[in-house]
Amino acid sequence: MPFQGVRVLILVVLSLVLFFCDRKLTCFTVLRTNFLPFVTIPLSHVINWPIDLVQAFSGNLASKQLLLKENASLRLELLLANTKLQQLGFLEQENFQLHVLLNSSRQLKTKFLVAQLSVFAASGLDQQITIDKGKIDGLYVGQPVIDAYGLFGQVVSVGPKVSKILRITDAKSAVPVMIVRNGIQVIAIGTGHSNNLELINAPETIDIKEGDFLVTSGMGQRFPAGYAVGSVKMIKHILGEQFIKVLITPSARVNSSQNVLLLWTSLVTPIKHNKK
Amino acid sequence: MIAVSTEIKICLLILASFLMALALMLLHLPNWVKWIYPEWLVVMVLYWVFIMPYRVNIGIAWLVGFLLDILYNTPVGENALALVLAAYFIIAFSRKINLLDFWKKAAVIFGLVVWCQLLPLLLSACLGKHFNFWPIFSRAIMSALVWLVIVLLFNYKRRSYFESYY
Repeated sequence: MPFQGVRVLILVVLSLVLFFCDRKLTCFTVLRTNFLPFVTIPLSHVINWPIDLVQAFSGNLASKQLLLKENASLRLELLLANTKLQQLGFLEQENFQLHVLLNSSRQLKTKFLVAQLSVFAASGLDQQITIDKGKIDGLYVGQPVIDAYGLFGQVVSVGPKVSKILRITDAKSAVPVMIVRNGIQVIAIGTGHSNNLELINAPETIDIKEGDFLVTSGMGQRFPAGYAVGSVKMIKHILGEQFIKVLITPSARVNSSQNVLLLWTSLVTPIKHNKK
Repeated sequence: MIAVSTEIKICLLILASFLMALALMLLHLPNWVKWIYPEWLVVMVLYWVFIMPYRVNIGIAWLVGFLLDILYNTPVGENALALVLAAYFIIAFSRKINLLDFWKKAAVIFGLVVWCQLLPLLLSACLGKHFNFWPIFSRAIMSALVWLVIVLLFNYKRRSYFESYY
């Protein structure tokens, strides 16, 4: 073919131009979130239909013994959870009253929505995942996402029917956290290449131990306060460095969760008491 | 000349194979599978470019790369660039590659699949992302194996199916 070389050159230049313009152009984001799902979602339904069917069947064929066992363990779990809940109601009430006394508006009311991870595009490269809820469900960019065990990530782009989530382990993600034991506030960033988080700018003198539990601090007002983030896995002092390296194992099952919860939080301003 | 019906059949087969590859990328699978999951679309494109460079040319390779960029959420142009260059490599050296035996051809495919993953990774690394480096090789090995299976399947089928074409 005579013009092969010219064509390759044109395509290479075109690719490079697109690569450098990608950040500035919004049309690709629109393509990703608004148009592509119309192809990928039906296709993914079709291809996953046999798998879902097999799963449904195996669910039907589970033995009675197994179900009874599972039932018993679930009942025990429920009992434990309920015992914890009893105290929670009281604490919530107390907390609310304290906030009223302080005249601060940090009491949060939350609404949940369950979403399912929808598309698995196998790429070793990125940590973003797609869920099956979008603008019609009222999602917004920056919305916090949790799973049953802790903070999962945040919504980064919203299409009409699907959205993308950035996990907390992504290198682009940063979460303001608090050490539960002493209330020290730090920032945890994702490492991107492993399933851990790291603390940034944690000074040598910081009071932190292996096994310390971290929750969201609510600073920055993106993630509501008090959701589990993870526990300290390893602390490394590096000679001559100002900061220590702290690795955190996330509480959320960042890799294996199939269902996630979307959070809506709103501020409730307490009624002002005029005690004069 | 090729009969019109055969022409249509070939085009449909190519389209079906691309759709199949796309569908396989959308399977719900556990996360560890990412370590060994083949690059279906890349293998498919390389296969067709090798067999029918006049039908699946570098323009189509570029389009598939573009689709991959959109799917993988990488900056547009990375995968497209990698695939165009890989396709051009195959077209430019197709005679030499043809002379190689079965396993050496698979090794070439392995190298090209590594290239198709490495280039986007390096370009993204320029933008300051961190990546896990090792799955590239395991996935490339799986891709080369998939290519072998495809070749075996089609070599068997081809004689009867596209008799007039070859």
